[in-house]
Amino acid sequence: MTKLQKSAWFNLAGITVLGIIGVAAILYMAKTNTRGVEYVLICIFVPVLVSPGLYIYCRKKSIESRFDERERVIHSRSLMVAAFGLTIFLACVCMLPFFVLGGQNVIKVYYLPLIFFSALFIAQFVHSAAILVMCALEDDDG
Amino acid sequence: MSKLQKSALVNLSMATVFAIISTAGILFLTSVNAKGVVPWLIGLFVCVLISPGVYVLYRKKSLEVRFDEREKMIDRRAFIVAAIALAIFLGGACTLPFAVLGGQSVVKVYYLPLIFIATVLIAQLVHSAAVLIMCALEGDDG
Repeated sequence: MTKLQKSAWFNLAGITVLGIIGVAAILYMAKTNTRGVEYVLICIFVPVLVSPGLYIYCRKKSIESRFDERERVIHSRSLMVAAFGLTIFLACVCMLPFFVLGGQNVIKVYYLPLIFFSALFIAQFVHSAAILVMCALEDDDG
Repeated sequence: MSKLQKSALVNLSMATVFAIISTAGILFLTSVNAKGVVPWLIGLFVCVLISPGVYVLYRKKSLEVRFDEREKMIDRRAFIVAAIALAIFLGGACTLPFAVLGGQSVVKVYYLPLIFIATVLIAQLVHSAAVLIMCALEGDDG
């Protein structure tokens, strides 16, 4: 298994766990009708503090130097596929309720963060799946 | 002006024009409270019919062939910057109403397509601006 495949599996597992935790937290907060911008500020403040440390700890080398030429091509192609997947998903999830319910109708606010978490999950899922499929196809070709 | 800069300017102007047209369309559809999946299917059908023709007409060569190594690097970096901006904007647009209003509150459905159009516009705007800035900075460096 190449480094790119390992990172794809790792990202897929990580985003699945974080997606489940995020959706559960959103549903709990929606149930208790939690309010307050301080939660958003905490959510911004914690990643700003944690992410530089994580970045330095986990990424001693850049993407460019970790992968070989073939892996870099697969990586950039899968990014394109993920961008397409994200756009199509967002279009469907934003436009379908508009046409089904009508613009003047209302939806619950907790639908919005669910859209956000689903979009992140779909983008990462499509990215990782595209990497694994392209690597498998290249391996089959020899 | 390099090919990458020209394509950034074309993308920027096209995204702006499409965003203005679609926002006006969404606001009109909202004012008449349009419903029905038929307009959505017509839009999808038109895109499916038109996009291959536009693709064949304007993209005779792939990105790999059209740009040189320096331009490809700038394009890749600008894509990452645009992806980060997209995630931040989408996160803000989706989680702030949740934190301010509470999950059990309601918002009008036309907020969803406006989020989608704004997200696509922001991503394209940041991508094009990043390309133009990076090209200008590299031009200054000689």
